[in-house]
Amino acid sequence: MTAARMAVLAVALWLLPQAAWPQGAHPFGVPESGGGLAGPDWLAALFGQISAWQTHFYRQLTGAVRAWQADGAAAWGLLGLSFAYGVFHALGPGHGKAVIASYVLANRQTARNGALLALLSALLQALVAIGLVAVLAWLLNATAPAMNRATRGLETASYGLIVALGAWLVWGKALRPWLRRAGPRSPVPHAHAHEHAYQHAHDGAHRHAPAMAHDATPEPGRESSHGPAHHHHGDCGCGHAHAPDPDQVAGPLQWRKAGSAILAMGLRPCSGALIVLVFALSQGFFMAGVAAALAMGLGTGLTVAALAVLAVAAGGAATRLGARLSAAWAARLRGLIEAAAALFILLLGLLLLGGQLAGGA
Amino acid sequence: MIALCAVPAAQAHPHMWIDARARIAFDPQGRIAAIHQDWQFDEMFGAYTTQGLEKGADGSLPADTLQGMAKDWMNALGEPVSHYFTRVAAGGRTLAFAAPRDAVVRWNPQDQRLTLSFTLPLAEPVAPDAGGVQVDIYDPTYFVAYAFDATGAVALDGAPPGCKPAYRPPRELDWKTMQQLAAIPADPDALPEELFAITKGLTHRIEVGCR
Repeated sequence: MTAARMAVLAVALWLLPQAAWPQGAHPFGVPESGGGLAGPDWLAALFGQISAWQTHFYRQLTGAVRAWQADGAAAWGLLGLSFAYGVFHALGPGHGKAVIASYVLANRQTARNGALLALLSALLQALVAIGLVAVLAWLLNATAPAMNRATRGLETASYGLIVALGAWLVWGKALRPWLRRAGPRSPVPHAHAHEHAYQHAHDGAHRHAPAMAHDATPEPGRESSHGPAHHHHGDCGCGHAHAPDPDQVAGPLQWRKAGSAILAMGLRPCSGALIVLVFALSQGFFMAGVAAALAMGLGTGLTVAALAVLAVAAGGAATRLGARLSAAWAARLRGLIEAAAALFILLLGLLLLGGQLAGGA
Repeated sequence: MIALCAVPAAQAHPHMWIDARARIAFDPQGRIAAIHQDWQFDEMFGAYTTQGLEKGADGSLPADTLQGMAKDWMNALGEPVSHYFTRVAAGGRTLAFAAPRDAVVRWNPQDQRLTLSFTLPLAEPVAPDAGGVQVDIYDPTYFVAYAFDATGAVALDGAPPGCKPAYRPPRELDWKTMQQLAAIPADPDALPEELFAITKGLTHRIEVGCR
């Protein structure tokens, strides 16, 4: 049991995210997606080492783009470096993996679905970076400040989506079960009830997501208004009291539900990818940038996928821990993990969005 | 765990690299009067920053574009939180700067690198005494990584005989310092002294001593 507990702790610590230094404060404007970190000493040392490696790979990218340009066979050099950069980028502090892992925990996703979510959001992130540079820099010949503004808009939208996702999950996973338990209904193993309520809730929530995706700069007030909107949908009373159906838990990814999580993570392009894309464009070799961005995305996606699988394993271990005591405890613990994960997403989203808005547009 | 997360932190890793040079200029009275710096930015930053700007057939940038860049950067660097990423101290006291001058940005289309040069005069020139004069250069947000690797990257200009610069690279950033940096408000007013106290030893330090 100590092992299981340690697994839970290790994953939780790894997923500790950061809040970004408000970028308005820095004299030199390039889009910034990384951030600082918070955690114990050994974690800071680890992140320090990771960041040293990330820097190591990043600084060689320019040479690798040129090498490919001179010799087609050198393409693998750039792809390898970009992949490694992506891996270390994902291992370092960042909120993406924290949200994916929490989402997976809150929704009792399988390891396979968690990995799929991670890969898809990383792919979307790469495509957004490619699209942004292709349209703004290549087609419209936009300047750096214009690209920074666009990136910032996408960031704000992404953070807003995380807040909306968190609020929605907190309602479904924490508030609603709590209200239900406080009410006249009997103390049932409630995990399944959430699952159900959630499915009803997502119809309402999903409609918001695409709207925000198209809106480059959503008004600050708009995000918060999403939360209450879901409540009506969530309130359709599904008080099933039977145990969770394994088929449902292990079933195929619910696309509409997962879509907002993928969008929340993937909307915000990685600064490393943007800068490499612009550099490749400046060398008249945009395709190298596209390949590099995709390789970075693959590296990031696979790494976050591995972390998501770890999170699933840790969640399972914690539930088994509870199951040793009793079935009721297992359900209670499960519910607690889901509620905590949901709350975590909400708080993280608020922190990121708050920092973003405080940093000035 | 959530309390830990709520700590906003400084940038964990650099996104820009600057090959820097610093020349410490003395006045005829043998006092340190100004710090002249050249900051050569990495080529990815060069490509990104010059994206979409109108360039000549040879890839050169118009003079007014470069002037505008210099003006914008110097304005941003002049904010209290940035403080030109430079501190000059003598006898444990931070010396005030006069308005910077001679800010110039050059663009080399061949190697895709931008260079910002500027001169930061001291409000009151200072003669290095037994305690020496310390010049610290660094970015407290760790967004920019400086390197003083080139030969002659640190030099004295017009110094009396017996004066020598000594360069010391920054030590590794530790966790405690990182937390202190993280606690810095985003828009501080009276920041530098506090900041310099925290970041002791994390800077590129040029120690000027005269015998």
